[in-house]
Amino acid sequence: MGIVNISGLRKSFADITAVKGVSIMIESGEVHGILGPNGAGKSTTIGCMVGLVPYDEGSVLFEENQSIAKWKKNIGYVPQDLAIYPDLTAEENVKFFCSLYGFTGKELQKKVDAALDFVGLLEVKRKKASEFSGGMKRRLNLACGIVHSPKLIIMDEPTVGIDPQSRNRILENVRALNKAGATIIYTTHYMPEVEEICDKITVIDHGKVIATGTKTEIIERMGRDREIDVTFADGSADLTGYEEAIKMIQGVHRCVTEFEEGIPTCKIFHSEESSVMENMIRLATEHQLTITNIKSLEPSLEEIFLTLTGKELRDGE
Amino acid sequence: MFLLQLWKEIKVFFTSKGNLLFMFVMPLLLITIFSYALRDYINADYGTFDGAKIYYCEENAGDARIKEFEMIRTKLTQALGVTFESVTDYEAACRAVEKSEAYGVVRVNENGYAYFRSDFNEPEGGKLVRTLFAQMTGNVDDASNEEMVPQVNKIRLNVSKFDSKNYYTFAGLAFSILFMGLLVAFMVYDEKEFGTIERIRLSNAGVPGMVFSKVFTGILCGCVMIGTSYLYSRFVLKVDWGTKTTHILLILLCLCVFSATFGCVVGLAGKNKTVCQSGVMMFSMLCGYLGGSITPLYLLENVPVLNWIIKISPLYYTNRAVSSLYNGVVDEKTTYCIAVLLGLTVVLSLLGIKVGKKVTKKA
Repeated sequence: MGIVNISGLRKSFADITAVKGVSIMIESGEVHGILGPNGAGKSTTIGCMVGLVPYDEGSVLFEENQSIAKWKKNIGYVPQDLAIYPDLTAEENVKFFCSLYGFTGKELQKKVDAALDFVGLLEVKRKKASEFSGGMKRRLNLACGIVHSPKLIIMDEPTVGIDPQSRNRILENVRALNKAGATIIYTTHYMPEVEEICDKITVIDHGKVIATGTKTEIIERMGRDREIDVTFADGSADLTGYEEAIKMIQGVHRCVTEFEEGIPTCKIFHSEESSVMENMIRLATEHQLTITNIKSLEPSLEEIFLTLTGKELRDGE
Repeated sequence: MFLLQLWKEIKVFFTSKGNLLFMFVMPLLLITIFSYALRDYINADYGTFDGAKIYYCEENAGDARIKEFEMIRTKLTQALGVTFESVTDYEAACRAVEKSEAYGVVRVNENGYAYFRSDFNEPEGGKLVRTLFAQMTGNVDDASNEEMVPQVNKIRLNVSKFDSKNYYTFAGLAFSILFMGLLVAFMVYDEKEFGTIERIRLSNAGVPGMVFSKVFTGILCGCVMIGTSYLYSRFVLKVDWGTKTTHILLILLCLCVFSATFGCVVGLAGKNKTVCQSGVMMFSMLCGYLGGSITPLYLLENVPVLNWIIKISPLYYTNRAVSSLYNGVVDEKTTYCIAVLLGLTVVLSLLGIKVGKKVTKKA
């Protein structure tokens, strides 16, 4: 049993079925990325998960089979749209949301200061939220969601529209929170973020889960090739013989040799990495080729995402 | 937890310049403008005493009493055109009064006067005549429908001069309190717009706590409006709030509760701020007009059909009750008014719960 177990979730609105039997298991202590194009059903799934959207069928159970009503105090929600009071100071905002969980007095103040310090806003805690920059508002939004030390933190695109420094700070915060023991559900459109911080990924499209697991598991399940790009020194010869020999290695699906701006290169597409690398170097020596550079490339998450969900444009969710 | 929520609401509310301006300036502005601009409405004769008739019945009254009564009759007839008609069947006369065929029945005997009037149908002219009659006789036994002889309810009528300043101090204030619902509607809608309502729903506090804190803040705002208006009317306009100030304040407080609850429901149901604004404004304007906050109540009561339509406005009951209380009369109008305002608050609260659930489903 994970920290959240979503099973057969279905949700229809008046004219559309937004979620069609989604099942996701989120293990305790992981950073779980939820990906999907606009209108895929991510937000509805999260809404159902935290009890903000009532669902038609299925179940959402938390630790020890508890319902959202009993478990919601353990959830920290960081919505995509800022959920803060612009007329209150940073401290007042965080204090208010923390007080909603029953914290008072010194304990409340301690938690508020810790949360503000965590997101780097302690120095400006007496400034009104309306006077903050976009990045500071996002960090305040995060502080309001985590101040009560939740076990599960749900972050809905927390880095939209902010500068690289604030984005970096938020990602550091996510890693730190996870290290401190919090389980994190992270939705975003930025693939590098997912690659950087997520242990597991679930891809949702048209209201269904179309892939779930670690990035490696998804790549393997999709049968996507890894790629090795080899560059040889000028004057190297017998590329044709080398290409033929490479193709004979087990696990190699394709090999392309060519001259890029006069420099001989070879692209090897394969499924097994270890033996290919070793054989590729041995064969280069045998064919008197001098290797100047080797690059081992995995298919990018973006590539996987586009393969899974298609390249056509989607209208807003 | 609730106190912290309330503290936050008060802090947000009272740091907004717009809210402060609305709270302090709006009632004073309405009271001042209406008092001066509409004073002819109050002072002019609009046929209040048309067809005014009072039955009387002399029972073993001495010559002196009969002479005194004759003098009073003459004065009232000369001043207001009220006709007096002698009757022998007191019970039949009372029934005629209940059917609005006359303002009242005066019973004259050696001990003094007993004035019967309808509990439900006493017109504005009837009230004024009764007030004058009480002033002229010095003391009167007021025999209402349910308190006829032998149990006589004695009411000492301390009548004050009812001019435009007096009338619009209360009518303008009540109108402003109804508008105050707009501030509450905005406060509630802001939670939806900011997205903070979702965090509140996920927390231990939940939405009901938020709603109560908003309503409470609205009531507090209403109380400030009442306090400001009281000071302004007492010391600037020189309006005496009469002997039943506590009752008047109680009624205005009930109006605050109603208005804040109404604003809260509109804020929960409104799809955007414009809808909230037009909803509260239209309701307030309609209630204000029908309830006698612009056109005096006695004029509206004398217009056929309209005199029924006006009863849909909560301000009608408020202004009616406050007018009576201003004249020192605590009667069924006070009770009706409190019952109507609190009853409507309960209905709105139930509606609010339903709307709140719908909002949850749509979120």
